[in-house]
Amino acid sequence: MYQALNPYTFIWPAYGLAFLAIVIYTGSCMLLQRRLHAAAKLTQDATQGTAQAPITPSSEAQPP
Amino acid sequence: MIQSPHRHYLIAVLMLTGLILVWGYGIFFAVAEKHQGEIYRIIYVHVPAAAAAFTISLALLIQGILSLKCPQSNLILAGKALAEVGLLFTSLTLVTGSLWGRPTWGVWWSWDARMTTTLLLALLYIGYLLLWSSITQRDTKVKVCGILAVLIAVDVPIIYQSVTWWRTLHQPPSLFRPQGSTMDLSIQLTLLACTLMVLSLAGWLTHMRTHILRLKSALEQQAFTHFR
Repeated sequence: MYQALNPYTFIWPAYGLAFLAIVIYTGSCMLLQRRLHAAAKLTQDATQGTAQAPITPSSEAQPP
Repeated sequence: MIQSPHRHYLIAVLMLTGLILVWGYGIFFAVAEKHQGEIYRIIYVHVPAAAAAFTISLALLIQGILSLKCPQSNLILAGKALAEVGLLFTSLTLVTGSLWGRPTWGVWWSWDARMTTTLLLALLYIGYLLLWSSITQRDTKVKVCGILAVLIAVDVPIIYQSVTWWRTLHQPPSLFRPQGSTMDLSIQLTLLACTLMVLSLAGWLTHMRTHILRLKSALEQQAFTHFR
């Protein structure tokens, strides 16, 4: 049995699966990080925008 | 709070390139082993993955103790990141071990002591993650996850010593022995390079995941304060 099996039939899947799993985990983290950074930036911009906007009475507000 | 994610992209590319280089060397250029022939090359992925899983268990224990000392700190987030990465590398240890076992022992799986205790480690990591997600009270989470971190850390020396304590399919230790290693120096050096690369990768993945969890937590906190 041992002689009949080609070792590379097992070596390639071992390395391939390990690399794929690491790439998938790293990729997922990267994607999530990108989304969170975008959300954080939006929140920061919105907070700064609200703080810097002129305070206008509702009667003087222009229709959009 | 907002850091550029580009630094992380660069590190990711460097880490994955490094991994391809060391594993490529292990597959194509490392010398063949006298008794096992080519199949031993799985050692360069199997042993580093196990080393990463074991090192993470130690880090999780330290994190658990520090979290118990300062329950209000953000260290609890590092626990989740460590358990995720630990589970990833324990799973890789089991899968690559199974792929090595089939041509060497003729079986994909055997309930031998080392394999069973390694499976237990994977289950403990899963349990840690489930508890971390299901417990909402911070203090309870810190305590329960701290206890589980101790159990995880206790399992690791059992895995390591299992080949000397019980009769298993695995060979006795060949690297760290009082009489010196039975492994050829070139194999040892390649194994060391692969282990250092995988450990760096595991460390960086944990760091990145902790950063993501901190960012998520800060955003949730901000949204909660804003809409209250």
